Amino acid sequence: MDLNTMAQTLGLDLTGTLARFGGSEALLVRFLKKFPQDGSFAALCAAVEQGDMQGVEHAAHTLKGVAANLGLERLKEHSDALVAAVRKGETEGVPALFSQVREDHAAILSALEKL
Amino acid sequence: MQEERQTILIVDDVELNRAILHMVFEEEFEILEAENGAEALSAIDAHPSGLAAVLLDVVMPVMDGFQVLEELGKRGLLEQLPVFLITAENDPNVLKRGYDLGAVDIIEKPITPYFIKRRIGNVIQLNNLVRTQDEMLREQAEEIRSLNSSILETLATAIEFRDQESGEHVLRIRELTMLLLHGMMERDPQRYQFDEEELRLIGDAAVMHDLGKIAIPDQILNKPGKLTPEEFAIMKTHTTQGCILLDSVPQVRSNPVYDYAYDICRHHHERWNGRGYPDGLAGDEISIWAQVVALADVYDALVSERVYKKAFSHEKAVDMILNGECGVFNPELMECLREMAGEMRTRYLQVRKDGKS
Repeated sequence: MDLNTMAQTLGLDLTGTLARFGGSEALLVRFLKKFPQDGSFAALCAAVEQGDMQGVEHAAHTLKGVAANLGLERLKEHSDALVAAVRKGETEGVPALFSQVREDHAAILSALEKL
Repeated sequence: MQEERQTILIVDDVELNRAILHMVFEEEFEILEAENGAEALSAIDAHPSGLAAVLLDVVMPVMDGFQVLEELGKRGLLEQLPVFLITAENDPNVLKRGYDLGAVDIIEKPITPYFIKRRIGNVIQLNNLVRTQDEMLREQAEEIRSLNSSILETLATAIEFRDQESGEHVLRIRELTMLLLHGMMERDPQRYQFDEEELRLIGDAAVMHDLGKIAIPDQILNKPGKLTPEEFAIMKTHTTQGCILLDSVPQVRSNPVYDYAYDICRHHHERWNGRGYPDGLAGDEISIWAQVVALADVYDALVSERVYKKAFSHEKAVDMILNGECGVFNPELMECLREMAGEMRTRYLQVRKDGKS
């Protein structure tokens, strides 16, 4: 899979994101490939499992930042939604929102393997 | 202007975020990284000469960005160190808190390299400029003070020339006055407290103590023998004449040295028991700086060759003074003299040797 196709699959804003990486596709790819090593998603899973709402808020917030930097729009928005829900105290909505984040994450990982 | 590269500290618990910022700034700056607030503070402590900027994430384990800001604020570091919060946060309350705690600017993730480079770069440039100018101002102020003192020394020396004294006498009086004053401050810090600026002014004023001699006729000033009562009366007026001279220049009256100079000119011949002149002040009515100059003047006169006497040895001079042969002085000052006698001798010889203080 090439970068353009991956971008289309994931809804990644390639032009905007490339600008952030000085126009270098190679650099963007290098950082994208580091994404699976980033610990925020794992931290989020753990927090959800333990019902640690504050942990969920922090991890989702961090994940949002990482996603934003890499142009992973869907992941960013869903993480943000999770953060907002916890802050508003709507903890019943958390599982559903989390599963969306999990889906996004899985899609990204799978696309990255083919890159 | 700075030639060497400055250093930026990047603080974020996510490696990816640090890597992106690193990439943006590595061309222009040396980069330090920290994973959390505690590490950030250690890094800042390790660089006392200062970092150009700190890029600070908010949400971090161990110590978060706000805690770091608070700590830096407490240490008074935020005035010289620009701290930028970099955050994915968009809640206005959170942002406001960042500004309230003293962040220079808050930059939202995702960052756009060109913009962040300019925003942060601009602030760093401005900061550098301010620091450079501060340094220049400090240097200029010092030069001005130094020039001031030189001018006063020249004036005083010119006046001393007439009675065969040299520029050294003037410098010695300044040296001895400073020495004795420091001695008194050490003995009684509650009572005698002078800051650097005041000491400088007193030194300058001490240099001018005999300004009034310019009004005394040559025959009296340089008479080798003992003065008649009438001649002595005229000689004594060099105290008040000095004051008249100081008063006659408006520029001088408005200068901070004036108060000390007037006092010393007028009262450097007063004595502790009220038997001095022109006003017959006694005890603590005489300011400590006038007392010290009086003592320095007497000491210097004794150990130097004069038109009317040979030079005495340092030991003899100190003895004579302590025995009250040159008038009565403040007992505390006498103690001080006893302690500092050795040092006074050294300084006197030093000025002799260097021709400068």
